[in-house]
Amino acid sequence: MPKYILKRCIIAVFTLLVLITIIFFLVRLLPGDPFNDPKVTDEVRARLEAYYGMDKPLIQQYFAYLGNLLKGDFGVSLIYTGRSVNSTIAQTFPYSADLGLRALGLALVVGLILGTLAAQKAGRVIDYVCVLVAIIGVSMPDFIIGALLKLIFAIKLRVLPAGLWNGFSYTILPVVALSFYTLALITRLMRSSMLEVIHQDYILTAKAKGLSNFQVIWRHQIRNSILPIVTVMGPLVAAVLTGTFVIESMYAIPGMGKFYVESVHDLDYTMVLGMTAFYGIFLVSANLVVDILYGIVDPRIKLAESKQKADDGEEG
Amino acid sequence: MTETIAGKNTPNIELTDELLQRVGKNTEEMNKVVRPSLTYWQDAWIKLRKNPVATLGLIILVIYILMAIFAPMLTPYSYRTNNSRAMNLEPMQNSEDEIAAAAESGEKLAPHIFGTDQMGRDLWARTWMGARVSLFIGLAVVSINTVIGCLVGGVAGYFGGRADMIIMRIIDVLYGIPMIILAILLMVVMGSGIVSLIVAMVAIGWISSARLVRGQVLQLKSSEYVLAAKTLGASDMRVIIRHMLPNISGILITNMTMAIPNAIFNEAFLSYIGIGIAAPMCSWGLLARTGAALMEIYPYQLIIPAFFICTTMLSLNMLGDGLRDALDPKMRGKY
Amino acid sequence: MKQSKLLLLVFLLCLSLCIFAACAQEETPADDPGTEEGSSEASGEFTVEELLQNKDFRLALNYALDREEYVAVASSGLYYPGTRFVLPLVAGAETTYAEEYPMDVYQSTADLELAQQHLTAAMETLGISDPSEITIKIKISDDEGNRPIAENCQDQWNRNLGINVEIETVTYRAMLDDRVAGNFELIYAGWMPDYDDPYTYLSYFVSTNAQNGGKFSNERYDELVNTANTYSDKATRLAMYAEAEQILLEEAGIVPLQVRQRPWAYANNLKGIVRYYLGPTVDYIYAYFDGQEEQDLSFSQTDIPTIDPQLFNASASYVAIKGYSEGLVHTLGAEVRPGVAESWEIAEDNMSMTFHLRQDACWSDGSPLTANDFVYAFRRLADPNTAASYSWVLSEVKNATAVLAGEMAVEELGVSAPDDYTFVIEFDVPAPYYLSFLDMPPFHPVKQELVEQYGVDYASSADTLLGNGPFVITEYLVDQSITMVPNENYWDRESIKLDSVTIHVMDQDAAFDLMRTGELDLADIPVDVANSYLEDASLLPDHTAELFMDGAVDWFCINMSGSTTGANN
Repeated sequence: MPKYILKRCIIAVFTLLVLITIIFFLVRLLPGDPFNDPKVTDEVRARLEAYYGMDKPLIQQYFAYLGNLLKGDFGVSLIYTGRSVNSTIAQTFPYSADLGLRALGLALVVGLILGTLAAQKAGRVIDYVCVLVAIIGVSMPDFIIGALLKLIFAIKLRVLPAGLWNGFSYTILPVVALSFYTLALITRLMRSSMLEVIHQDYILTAKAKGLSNFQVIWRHQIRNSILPIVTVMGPLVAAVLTGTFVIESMYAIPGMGKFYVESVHDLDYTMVLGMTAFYGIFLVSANLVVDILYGIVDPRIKLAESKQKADDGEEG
Repeated sequence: MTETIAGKNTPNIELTDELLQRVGKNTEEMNKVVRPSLTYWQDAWIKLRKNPVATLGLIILVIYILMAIFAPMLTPYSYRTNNSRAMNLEPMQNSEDEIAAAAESGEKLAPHIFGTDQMGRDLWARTWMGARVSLFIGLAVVSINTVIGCLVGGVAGYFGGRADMIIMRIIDVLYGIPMIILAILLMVVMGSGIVSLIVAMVAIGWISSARLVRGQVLQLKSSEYVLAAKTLGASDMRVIIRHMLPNISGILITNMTMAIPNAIFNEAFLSYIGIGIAAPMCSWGLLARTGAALMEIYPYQLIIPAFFICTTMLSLNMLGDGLRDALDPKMRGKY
Repeated sequence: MKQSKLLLLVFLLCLSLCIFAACAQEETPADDPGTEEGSSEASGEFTVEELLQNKDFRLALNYALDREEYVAVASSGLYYPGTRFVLPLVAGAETTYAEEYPMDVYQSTADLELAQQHLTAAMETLGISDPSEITIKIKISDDEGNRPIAENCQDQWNRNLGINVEIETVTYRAMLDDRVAGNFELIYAGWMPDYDDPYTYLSYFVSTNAQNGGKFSNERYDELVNTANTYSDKATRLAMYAEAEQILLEEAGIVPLQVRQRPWAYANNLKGIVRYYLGPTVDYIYAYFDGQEEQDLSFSQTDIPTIDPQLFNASASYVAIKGYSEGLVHTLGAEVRPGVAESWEIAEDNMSMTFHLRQDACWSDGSPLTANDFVYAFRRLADPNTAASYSWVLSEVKNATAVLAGEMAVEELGVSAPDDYTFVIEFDVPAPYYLSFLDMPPFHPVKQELVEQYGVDYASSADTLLGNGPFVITEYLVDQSITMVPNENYWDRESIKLDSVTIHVMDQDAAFDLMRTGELDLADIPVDVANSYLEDASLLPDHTAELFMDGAVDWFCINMSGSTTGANN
């Protein structure tokens, strides 16, 4: 296992490198120019490009960037004059992470409960209610749900604040809004997955053995049906942690999402690269964790791998 | 032979030969297969038809599809004509200017069934015009995504090892590229329009189904029926498609139905930045987006597209559930 | 039998999908009789380039537009229909330029007869028999503001002239590039003024201006605009500008669209906020709350990338910088008041300005402020190593262009301090309008020792900057919030009534919501819903809603260069 993890880490670094390289050249292909402004003269433009080292050949710029990256320096923003990408990330990431983790936690807990409930009581009223909630949650994108929640609870009823991030009550609305889609997704997936599991023979065996309903659910059903959720959670965690533009801008939370979206719009090359690299790190790590979890959650998978190795060993 | 059967609560019965009738062995009847032999697809269709909820979902979808095709042709209002004298009208209303103009010309004035939007365009026409775009894009994109996802995910999960590693790393890299960048670049290369829109959405969209399928295949790889099929000499492709996919179909269908509203709103986002449908063409996603900005003052402009998206989702889900039950080989239908 | 039913269902589904696909596409081919890519392909015997170069056609486009309609539709009537180019508010000799020199080339309603006449004339010249053969493209950016207007113009031209119009959306940056490169047929353009003079608008269409991507070119226009600055008499200058503007409109160089107004709301007892098209968009320096103890102001801006005066590059930074820093002059709305300079003289030939600074001028920490601090600031701005994107504001200053290009040393810049309290600016070209310009952040003084000490980190936090303005920054979280309290060493301390100012950074819509729940004291109202709030005061019981003209003027640029792909630029 440790060997596997080490191997995966090396591959992860390599993957990141590929990603960064691709983005580095891809953003340069975008139409437009970061320094272009109706009021900026050509001489000033040229001067700005020289200042940021953009007048050198692209390959040279690329290696310079890589060199800095190895030192942990993501470079300086082209639009936010003087600001380093590192400091931007350091300042905004805590907010995004806070918001994201809370939302994920809520979505996971509530989603699992609702999904399990729906599957256990399939065909009954509770099932339909859970499914309905899930459907609405998935049909409505974050900007609608976020706006609705804000309108009802903050503006009309005045029971919760309409924005900023200064205390627990400030977190309620954005966290709920953000968790909705994930919650709905997890509910549906869990229900679907568990329904399959419920009909399996080993469940019947477990019940016949005399295990209590709770034990059957907890030890057998959940564990076997959670795999699709683990699959989906990986990239979801990465995405949510690195900022969600819509919710953050709607609730005035100073997180990373804004930079991720606007830097592409503004053609702030270093910021785009920095954000993407940061996001990529999370993504790759999340996938690594997911793959490891596969092995833990479902013994069949591990078995299959080692069995395959044994087969290969025999053939080789 | 007579026996006496006695028990605690039963009266004494004398068993004589006359009481018992010999039935005998009717070999023909015994060998008659009463339950009809069905292929997988026949079985699936029967189950689907008999499921009232799924059928309802199907009916609603068909209604929407028919409305989307025919409603814009039948309404007197165009989806694109601006009318600054009939802006932001509530459903089933006409503005004073319209009423006056109709009184003058003597023509019958049709009400705006869903009202009008900020530019005075009839929302009934726009909703059904938008239905065309949204339904098409939603279904097309999700279907393509699923097919590609199944293939890639199936191969990755089934073959494992290096193939799996390479495919998953490619997925990692692809997923890390911000969609906006891809969309803008595609727009530069392919221009705007439905085709480039679909390409933009599919380019990253197939990843989530691929992941899902891979996970499931990893789980099911060691099932007995897989072993049985392989022992019988089935090729790998056959095992994946014929045996594993039907068992994954449940989760896959759920995922597909969940992905459709995502596709609808992604399309709205992409159309806003220029790739996809051009003004004055509209879609449910675009209608919802513009309606959301006016939610407080003109709520109907949001409620209407949201309602249709939700009900479409609901019907798809009902249909999807029915499909899932129908396609599940473990749950054989009753006749 | 059962299998065939399944097949039938699948077949029906595919069929309907195909019909959708066809229908979704069908609408556009109906509008586009010609090609879909670059319509420099001739359909008939004319090209789009020739069409756009035809003055009658351009005039037809202008006369066929009911400007009141698109204002009603696109901004719910908030904006003014644009019938001319220069902002109406720009100062005239006595009142405003617009009042003194009205233009009546275009009206706010359409003149369909006239439009038809011009269109017919154009079609005859080019040999077009039917207007539906014509397709033109409007290029807009993905900024949500320009879509509705473009859509309405599309609809109007289709209705009133019978021509086809397509709308092409590109990213904002791409649009800027395309505009300069001439890669468009019609393109959306907007302009914000830098100072209170028609020159800031009219210089755009001088034929040598790089921004003039549509290549509008008129000798008389160039002559008028380029020489007007040599006249010291304002009335003479304005008359020349007016003549130039008339030419621009009569030649139909543009399709004027609108003059923007910004709806905003503020707490009922908040007084003294000035919002004007010149200066910072929110001037809060002399604001106060009437009838309450608490004098803490809180509002927000969309984006404040930096508060380093010379590195200033976004208008929201102006709002923040003007709080803690002050330049030679201090504008309040249209007034130019003394700032660090008590008095000044402008030379007769408009080629230089001399400023006399206060003797007691000082920084917020009490240390003295002299003319040398201004010299340093100007030089820092002109220094190519600073790479200030707003260094273009120095263009008129003597040797500035050469210094910026690195051809001359910064010491050669035309600014000097003959003594500690006198500051002189020399110009290369006459710049009579420069005075109000000097309120802008790039011209504010900075302390040399601090800039050299902190280098790149100057102005990255409250501790790494020093100002001389009405307020002092106590906390600065970059692009998040700025908190200020009054500067006890400010020369006009008695006029400052607020106890604190907090500027948040957040999205405009979120700001409006936070104002309604009381966390902010003023905010812009989202344009889509502004009308309802302006008309019905009861919707905002604790706030007052108003409009102010923020100076933005929008128009469609028409490409008259002869190539719609930028080949002639």
